[in-house]
Order: sequence, then C-alpha cells, then structure tokens
Amino acid sequence: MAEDLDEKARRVRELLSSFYKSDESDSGDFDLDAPGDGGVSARRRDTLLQINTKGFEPERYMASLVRKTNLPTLLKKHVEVAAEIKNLDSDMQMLVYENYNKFISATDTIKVMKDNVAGMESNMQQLLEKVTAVRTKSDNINASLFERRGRIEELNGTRSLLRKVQFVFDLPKRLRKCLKEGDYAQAVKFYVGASPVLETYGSSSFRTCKQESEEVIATISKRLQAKFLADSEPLPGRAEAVALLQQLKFPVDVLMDGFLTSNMKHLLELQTLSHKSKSPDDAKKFITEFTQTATAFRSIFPTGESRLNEAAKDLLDKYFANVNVSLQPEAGSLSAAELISLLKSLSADVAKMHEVMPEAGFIDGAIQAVESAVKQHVNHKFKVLYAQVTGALSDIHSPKQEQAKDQQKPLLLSLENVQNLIVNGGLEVLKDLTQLLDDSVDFLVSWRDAYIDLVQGGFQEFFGSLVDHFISLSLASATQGEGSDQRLGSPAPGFVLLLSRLSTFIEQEGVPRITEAVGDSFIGGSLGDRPAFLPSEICRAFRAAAEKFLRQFIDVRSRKLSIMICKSITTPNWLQYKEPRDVRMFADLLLDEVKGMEGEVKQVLEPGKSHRRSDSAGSSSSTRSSNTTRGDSRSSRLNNRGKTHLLERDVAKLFKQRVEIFTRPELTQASVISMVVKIALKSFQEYVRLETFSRCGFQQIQLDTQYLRDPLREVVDDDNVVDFLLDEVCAAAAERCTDPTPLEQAVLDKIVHTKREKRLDDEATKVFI
Amino acid sequence: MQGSQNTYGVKYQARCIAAVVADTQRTRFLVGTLSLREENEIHLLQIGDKTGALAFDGLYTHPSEIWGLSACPFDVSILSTVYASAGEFGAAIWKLPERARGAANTPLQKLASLDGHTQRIKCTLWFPKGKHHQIVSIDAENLYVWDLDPSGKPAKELGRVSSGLQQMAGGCWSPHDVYIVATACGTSLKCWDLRTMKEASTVDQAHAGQVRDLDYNPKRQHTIVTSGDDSKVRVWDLRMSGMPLSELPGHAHWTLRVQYNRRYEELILSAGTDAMVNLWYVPPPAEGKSKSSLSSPKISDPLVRSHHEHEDSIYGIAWSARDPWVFASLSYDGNVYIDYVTQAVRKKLTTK
Repeated sequence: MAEDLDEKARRVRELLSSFYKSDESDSGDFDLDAPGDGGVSARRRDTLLQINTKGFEPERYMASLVRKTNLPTLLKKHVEVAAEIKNLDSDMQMLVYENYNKFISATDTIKVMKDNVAGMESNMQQLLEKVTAVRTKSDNINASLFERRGRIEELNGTRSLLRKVQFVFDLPKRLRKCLKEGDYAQAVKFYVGASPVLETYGSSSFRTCKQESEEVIATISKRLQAKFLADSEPLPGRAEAVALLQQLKFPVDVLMDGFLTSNMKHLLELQTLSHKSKSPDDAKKFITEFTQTATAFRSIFPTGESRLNEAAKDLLDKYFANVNVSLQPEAGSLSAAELISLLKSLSADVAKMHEVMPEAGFIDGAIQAVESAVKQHVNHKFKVLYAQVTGALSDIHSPKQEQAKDQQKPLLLSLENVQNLIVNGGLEVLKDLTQLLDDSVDFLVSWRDAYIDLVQGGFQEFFGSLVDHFISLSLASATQGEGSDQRLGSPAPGFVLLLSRLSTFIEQEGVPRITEAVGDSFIGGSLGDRPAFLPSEICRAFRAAAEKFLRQFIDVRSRKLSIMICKSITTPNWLQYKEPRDVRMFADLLLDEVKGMEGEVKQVLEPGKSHRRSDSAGSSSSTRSSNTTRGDSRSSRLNNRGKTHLLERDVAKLFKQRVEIFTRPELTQASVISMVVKIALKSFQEYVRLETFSRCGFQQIQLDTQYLRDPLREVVDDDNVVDFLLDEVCAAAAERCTDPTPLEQAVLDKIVHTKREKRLDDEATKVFI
Repeated sequence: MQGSQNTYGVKYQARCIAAVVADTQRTRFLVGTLSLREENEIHLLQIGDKTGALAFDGLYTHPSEIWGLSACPFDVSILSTVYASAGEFGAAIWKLPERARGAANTPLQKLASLDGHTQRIKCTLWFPKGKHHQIVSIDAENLYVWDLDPSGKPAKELGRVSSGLQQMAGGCWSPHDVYIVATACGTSLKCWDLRTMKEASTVDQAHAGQVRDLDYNPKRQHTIVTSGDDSKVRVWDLRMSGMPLSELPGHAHWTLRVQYNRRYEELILSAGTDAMVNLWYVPPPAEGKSKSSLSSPKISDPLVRSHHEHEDSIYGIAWSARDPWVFASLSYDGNVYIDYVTQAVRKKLTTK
C-alpha cells in the first residue's frame, strides 16, 4: 500500500517535472530514476531504461526488448507496461480534473470583479469634481482675506504693547499703593515684571516713570532691610524680606556678611569670655547662641549655606585658637587630668556644634586641635623632663658646686639625684600620658596609634638628645680640663666618670624600665615601618657613650699622673744624682692623686670584682723577696749578656701578658683605677727609658717604685700587674744605668718604712676625702 | 712570601730604623742600636729580591748610643745619627766605608759633626729634594740649619730658631716647600719658615700630651699627620688648624711614630709603646665636604691591620724606599719585623 502511494507520488512528480523542465531535466531525471542500473554507461547501453526520458525511441526500445528478452519476460513486461499506461492515464485524468476545477473558480472570481468595478468609475468622477470646487473656493477666500490679516496682527501687537506701557506708567502708582498697604511682595513682583521694559527704555521714554518707581522700590528695599535687621521680627518675615531683596537684585551677600560678622563677633566675645572665666555656664551660653545663630541664618538665607560654613569655620579657627591657648599654659605644666577635662568639654561642645552644622568640619578641626594640643603636651612633658635632667647635670657641672666640695660625696649624691630624676621622671611622664590614653577622650580614639607613636618617639628623642647632651658636656669639660692645665681636683674627670656611670645606668636600668612601662600601656602604634621607640638603639648609643666617657676619664686621669711622673723623671740630673736618702715628693703626690681619683671612682662606681690576690704574693715580704731575686738576675744579665738570653725570653713572655693589660676597661672601681694606674706606670717606664742614670739615680728610682708598690697594690684589681710594671720600671732604669747596683734590701725597707709611717701620720692629721 | 725570614734581631736594644731612601734598587734599612755599656752598631739590612727574606748586609760600629738615625736622600753610603751617652751628646754625618772582606765590624767614617747644641738633640732632617747640602737638627729648644761642606770641612751653622718654652720632640721637612720645617712643639705643631727663621703656622693643642712625631702628606702640601702621648693619630690641614681632618684611635699607650706611605697618601703607619704597629687607611678628604669628621661616625674602620709581632715598645718604623708595600718596624728589644700591606688594600689602591 505504502509502496503504491510512493510510486504514485513519484510518478506525479516525474510528470510534473517533465512538464515544467522538459529540456534540462534530461540527464538529472535519468540519474535519479535509475540509480542502481549500471552507473554511467547505462544511458548509452540500455535504452530499455530510457522509457521515461524525452529522447525515448519506442521502436528501438521495442526492438531491444524483443531482442533481449524471452517470451515470458516479454509478457510480463507487457503486463507491466500496460499497467503503467493505465496508471498514467488515470493520473492524467486526475490532473486535468484538478486543474479544471481551479480554472473554473478563477473564472468565477474574475466575473465578480468585473461586476464590482463597473460602478466605481462614476463615483470617482464625482469626487474629483467636488474636490476641485472646494479648492477654488478656498483660493478665493485666501485671496480676499490676505490684506486684512496683516493689519489685524499689527493691531493686536500694538494693543499688547500699549497694555504694557500702561502697566509701566501705572507702576509708580501701584507700587506706592503696595507700599502703603505693606504688600511688599506684590510691589516687588510688579517691579520685577516691569523691570525689563524699564531697563530697555528707561533712558528715553519712561525716564520719569522709571525714576519714580525706583524711588519707591528704594524705599521698599530700605524697609525690607530694616525688617530683615530687626531681631524682633519673626524669622519667616525676615526670610521673606531677604528673598524679596534678592529678587530686587540687592546684594544679599553684603547682608549675609553683615549678619554673620555681627553675630560671630558676638559669639566670639562670648566665647572668649567663657574661656576666660572657664565656667561651664558661659560655654553653654556660647553653644546655645551659636546654635541659634546658625538656625536663624539658615532660615533667613536658605541659599547661603556655604557662606555659613565659611563663617563657622572662621569662628571655629578662632575658637580653636582660644582652645589652644587654654590648652597650652604659659607657665607651669598642665597635668594630664586637666588636659583631659579640657578635652572633654571641648569634645562635648564640638559635638553639639557638629549637630547644628555637619558640613562645617567641626570634628576635623577639633581633632586637629586636640592632636596639636596633645602633641604639644607630650613634647612639653619631655621638654620639662629633659630640662630637669640637664639642669641637674649642669648644677653638678657648675663651679659653684665645685667650691662646695667639702660636703660629703657630692658626686654620689648628684648621681643618685640624676638617676632618680631620669627613671622616676620618665615613669611619671609616662603615667601622665597613659592617663590621657586610658581616659579615652573621643578624639584620641581615632588616632590612638599615632598617639602611641608620639609618646614612643618622645622617649626616643628624649634619650637621643640626652646622649648628645652628655657628649657635648663631656667635650666641654674636657676642653676646660685642658685649658685649666690639669689642676689638681679639677671636677671635670669626676664629672665625666659620672656621665659614664649615668649612661651605663640608663642603658642597663633606665631604658629597660621605661621600655617595660611603655610596653604595658603603649602597645601597638607603629604607623611607620618600625616602632618609634627603639630601646636597643638607645642602649647602643648609651653604651658607646659610656665607653667613650670612661676612656676619657681614664685618659685625663692617667695623663695627670703621667705628667707628674714626667716632671719627676725629666727634672733631675740623673747622672750627678746624690745618694738617695728618702722617697721623693712626687711619690706622695702621685698617691694623693690616686687617692683622690679613688674617692671619685668609689662614689660613682660599683665595687665590682674583689681584688685578685695571688696567694703566693699575698704578703709584701714575699713579693719583696721575689723582687730582690729578680733584681739580682737582672744585674747578672746585664753583666753577662749571652747567658741571659733565655731570661730575656721570659721577660718577653711576661711582656705578652702585659700587653693584654691594655684591655677594655669595665665600669667598676677596681677596673677603672687599675687602668689608670697601669697607663701611668707604663708611662713611668717609658720616661725612664729616655734617661740615663748613675748608680744613685737608679737607686732613687728603685726606692720610689718600692714605696709606690704597696699602696698601688691596694687599689688595683690585680696586684701582679702592679708588681710587674714596677719591676719593669726598675729594669728599665737598670738598663739605662751606667752602674746598676741596687740598693741594699735592708736600707730600702727602712727608708720606705719610715716614709710610710710619716705619711700615715700626715694622713691622720689631714683628712682625705 | 712572608716566609720565616721576615724578622731580624740586633743584639742590643735599639730605637732607630731608617730606610735607605737613596737606594731605589733595593729595599734596605739601617738600624742603630742603643747600648749603654757595649759598643754600638749600625746594621744594614736588605730584603732579598728573590727570597723576600730580610738579610744582614753590613755591620758598622758607632761610638755611642744612637738616639736618632736618618739616611741621606741622595747618597746610599751617607747617613746622619743623633747620639748621646752618659752626658755627652751630639749629631754627626757618617759615611759607610767600603767593606773589607772578612772584617766583621767596620767603624763608620765621620764626615762632619753638628756641634753647638746645648741640649740633647732629638733628630736630624735632610734636605727633602735632590742633592743639597743642607741639614736641620732639632733639640728640645732650638732648631739649627747647617750647611755641609762636601770637602770635609766642619759643618757651618746657617741659622737657628728657638721654640721657647715648649719642648720639641721631632720634625719633618716639608717636601712641598723647602723653606718650611714642621716640628712637634710640646702639645702643638709648629711650622718654621727657614728664610725668616720665624714661625709660619701653628696648630695649638694638636694633642692632649706631648706631640711625638709628625709627617707630611707626600701629595698634599698642607696636610700633616701627627701622633702624641694621648695615643691618638690626627691628620691636620694647616690652613684649618681648629679641627683635625680626621682622628684615628691610635694605640693603647703613647703613639710614638707615624709615617705616610711615600706613594699612597691613604696609607698611614703608626707604632707605639703598646708594642703594636697599626696600618691605617684614610681616604683623602673629599673636596668641599664639611669637616665634621669628628662627630660623624666613620663609615668604615680606618684600621687596616694591627701587627702584634713585637713584644716591647716600638720606637722605629720605616717604609721601604723601593717597594711601597713593604714596611719595617723596630722594637726596643732589638727586633726588626718586615711586613707587607695586605692584598686587599693593594687592590683597593691600585684599581682606583
């Protein structure tokens, strides 16, 4: 069934196509129709299949059919062809029938159309005629009316102009009327309406009119101004007056300025008053006044907001200037508590003002003011502290103190004083500033970090400048010391030592304590890359300074000793020296000097390590005996050089030890004193080496060194060093002596003993500090 | 290269060492001994070209203790000494005699003596430029200028300057201006004009103690380095005497000797009684830079190296006249050490 239908459809399509595309469909159709029968050669070879093409040759087809096929097939073919023909016929019939139907309906349609169109022609004709008539009539009317219309329009214009002129002429009268009635608004409206005309023709035709109306308007404006200025007038009335004035092109700015200036002046007065009296009532009054003024201004000049802001800012500046003045006391320091109360009232005030005028930037201004005030406060605190410390130092340094030296341990007292000042003062400042932080004033919250930085930086700067001050003091005192040619008891070295001790104290105690306190309450901060307070840096600076001062002290002290030794060595003529009877004067002076220094050092410095006394050299007698043997060996060495080569090595070894004596001094009593003594004794040796001695000269040196030995052993931390250095001095003298015969031990002991007794007696009568 | 042979010991104590400046072919040093009771000697030492070792090259006897020694700048065989012993003192010009083979000790030939000093002489200074027969001798109070007659007649005194109360300890003849001699005068540094015999310029309080030694910068006319009893080494510009150009920490005790390297002004050698020899590198001051070097921290440590070889105080140092990288130092116990500027510093100086 389906195949049948397919077949049928195919055929119909073929037929149609052969009908419509008779020429070109030749090959295409063939291809489509015989897809399976032999490919390309099929067309040529097999005419049997060309039955559906145009170039179909029935004879040939027949012939080929007959030739190729057998009878049954032929018969079958015949039946097939007959069936096909029958099919085709019915198809054809169907086609024709369908087309015929269509044709008939088309014919019908055409007939209907023809009937409809027939009546239209006459209607159209009628329409045309009517339109033409209308047109001609309209043209006629236009032509007849044309002339009059221009005239009417002209008349119309003149009429309106006349009305305006009339209005203008009437203006003064109306204005006066309005003035009489007090209806300024109306008057202004009239005037503003007329003003363009007056502007244009005022110089010519309407001169008098203009003048008159202007006069009236002037009066009105005056009245308006008066109305505006009258404080008694209700605010809307004043605002209206200002609006009218503005319409009259009156310079409202001037009014605004006037208003603001007078009010602000008033406010300022109030404000100054309030600051002077410092009573909260006045401050309140100021605030309410300000609020009132701002409201009034705002209702009167709705457009002048920016002006108000400006004026308010101006006022604010003055206000804050006042605030600053009150925050920065001229004399004396403000405590943090006071500052806080001030800041609090300021904060309240500003908050109120801010409510009234959010745009005026009160808060910013306030924050700035508070910032600067707090900054100033912090700076002031540090400045005061610094001044206290430096003041205390200069008190010690001043010559006044020097004369009053008989008081007990002046250095110790001042040291404690300054130490306390630094630590307690520092802590106090910190406490004060912490209060400010704890009592969280509103403004501080926003820049808490900055505040912390500020405080930390303050400490940093404080300590930094303190170091600088110390150094400058030490330099000044050093030059003074030199200038005064190393007087005995010059305060400079002691002071330098004090500075050294102080620096160490700050490094080891002051800074850690401050750091701890800072760490307790001022954590955070550091807006920059690193914290503003760097204890390690400060410690380093102070350590370096302490070392420098200590060195300076040692230098000055040892130089003084060296000079004494130098004089004692260079003055006598050693070659013609008489036999020594007594220890020379300089030894006592030297000991006095050392004692004086010891006094200074003991006041300022800590004792440090106890004396290192070797057991073998514990008693003076044993030392002396060892010394004697050494002296003997020396003389033998001098007599016989070759033999003592080994001994020379020993001496060299000892020298190695001694070289290590020039180490970094510690800040302890023993260390500092030893250092000074060591340097002095080394100088002794060097001076001796520059001389040439006779036997007696050598013996004198021997005597002097022997006398110095015990007292010096008392003061140094390692008495072996003193022994060694004094031996070296003796050896140097022996080397430089033409006849190094040492003094006999008994004689030596006797003289030294007598001298020592004498000195003890002296000391008993004289009081050494 | 610093083999075992960079040390030499003279038998006695010694204070003086000087480079033989006239000999530019070899590195030679003269060492004078200080012996009160024995016969004093002058040792001539030489550094072998190939071995680099310090070797003994000659020994000459000298009548008394040698407190000062300087070599003639134009004749290898001439030197001047300052001597003193047991009350006698003097200064003399000597000639090294031709060495007789086999003879161990040859006495020096005396050419001239500088008589007339009333105090112990501190040093003698040869005319700094070329062959010239002037010599300066300095004692504690006076400065003498002598004319040496080459024909052997006694030296003629040309003039003298008195420094007054301040004790002179040493001096240096300016290599830039032959009429100027700088001396260490007490705690100050004073320059004398030999034409007028008057003070030309001065630096007061150059050191806190006695100024011990000074040396002219070989390249800069007004720059002088000084050392003193306050152990510091300071570099001065004579035109700006208020403040040193730079200050070096110096030594632990007195700094007795200080010397510029003749070729590289950046190198300063110093020695002191702490038995150390220190080599400093001081870059020349930048032009127009503010002179606040005292207060501002140094960028780099000027100390190049400390030499610890010695065991006693050092009284003598000398740069080699031939090789700018070699220097010798002499300690009181008679030991001479040769040392070398480190490669790093050489590189820094030569690549500039």
